[in-house]
Amino acid sequence: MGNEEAVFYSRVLTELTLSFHIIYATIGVGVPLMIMIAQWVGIKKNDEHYILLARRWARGFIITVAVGVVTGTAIGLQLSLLWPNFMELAGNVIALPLFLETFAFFFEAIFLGIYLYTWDRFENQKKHLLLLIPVAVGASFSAVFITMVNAFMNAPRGFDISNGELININPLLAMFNPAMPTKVAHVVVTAYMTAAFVLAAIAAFRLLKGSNHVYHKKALYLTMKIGLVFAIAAAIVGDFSGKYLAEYQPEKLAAAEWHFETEENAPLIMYGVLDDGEVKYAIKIPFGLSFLAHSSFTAEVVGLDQFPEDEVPPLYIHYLFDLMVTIGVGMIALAGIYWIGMKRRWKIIHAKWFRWLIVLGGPLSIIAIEAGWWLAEVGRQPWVLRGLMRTEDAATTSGQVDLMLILFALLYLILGVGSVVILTRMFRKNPVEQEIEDRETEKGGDVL
Amino acid sequence: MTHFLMFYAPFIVLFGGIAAAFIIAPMDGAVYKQMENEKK
Repeated sequence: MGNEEAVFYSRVLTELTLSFHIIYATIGVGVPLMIMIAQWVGIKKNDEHYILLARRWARGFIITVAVGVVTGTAIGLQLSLLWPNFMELAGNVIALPLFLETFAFFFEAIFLGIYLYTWDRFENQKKHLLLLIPVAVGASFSAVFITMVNAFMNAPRGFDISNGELININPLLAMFNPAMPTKVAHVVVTAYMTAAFVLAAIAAFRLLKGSNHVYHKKALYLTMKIGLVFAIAAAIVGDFSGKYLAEYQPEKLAAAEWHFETEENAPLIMYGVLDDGEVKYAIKIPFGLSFLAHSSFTAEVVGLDQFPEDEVPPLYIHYLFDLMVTIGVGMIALAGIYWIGMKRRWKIIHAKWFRWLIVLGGPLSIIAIEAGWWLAEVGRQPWVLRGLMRTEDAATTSGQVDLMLILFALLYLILGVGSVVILTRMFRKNPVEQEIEDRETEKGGDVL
Repeated sequence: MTHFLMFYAPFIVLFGGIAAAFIIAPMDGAVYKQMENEKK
């Protein structure tokens, strides 16, 4: 296997691993907050349905954590094996958040164990709820620290290179690089949003399958409201990300928007296809890109004409951008209609087709996350470390990467199928209605 | 202004979103109204 093949297979394997890991990582970051909110509402309103929501979500959450640990370890292993030259530099400059991410995970895992073991062992449920704070904080900070490393790859800071040697290393400057705030906030709010919409999809599915229990109705209303809040937050932070890109990574913004010529009053191009370098069938929003990039309708936006051809990211990232934004806006509309419909008692929101749309919203949110990460990673190409190290220079020269790809693909297949089978069986064997009955018996009365 | 939007505003939106989620979460009167309507 030549070096080109090794680079190709290394990229495919890394993309596969990240694409698989991000599903479990996103749910792993978002669900603890959802559990915390449900339990808090349950305690505040003395409503056992919300407490039961927290209990059942926590059980499912353990499975996603277990798979996330395996895939997270695979990423760590692959970073060292597939990208040794990048890790040599990164190990000297940005190792701190990589270590902190591990500590954040331990923090989460230890308190998660105590939290799960101590259900019904506290007389005061508020004390039990306190155990969830480190779980939710640890889960979110795992995402914060690992996103700091990704942000560093987009805007490397905190060191100088002199005669091939790293000098003036400042890990804190590397961590708090210009890409960090928008990236961290976007990753965390979209994780909360996705977790909410995945849980909403499950509740809507149960209602579609014949259960009319108020438990599912409360679950649906709670998750759709929270999903709406974080979908709006994701859109706002997405706008800030556009402004960051215009300032620090203009080639990524220009490639994502098919903005070829530097110009003032730049239009925003939505959808369309690229045919021989010509944009066809697109919707052009006049002055849209100037406003997105600089909050001014007349501002100049740097185009791809300002960059050498070999430093222009692949132009297919425009489709990824469109996909992510379309799903995001669609979910805001869906959750917004549902929320207003519940307030105004619209019948439409209880229609089967509307509930199927909510069910579809779960996987669509995950697809939006995938599209977003592909946009972020492919949009940084040809660099692994923007402006400093090209992807092909960072990769291994090993001849065994194709074999690794097959073995890891098999592992992910087993983990993916296994986790879905376990989660389905776990909840089928213990339906909500049965558990509510059991808890009523336990509590010695009609408490639910 | 752009500096504020890139470096501080993302965290304000993140924490604002978390606070908003906790504020609106207990407001579930619409579910009970839905149940009443279904009974009618």
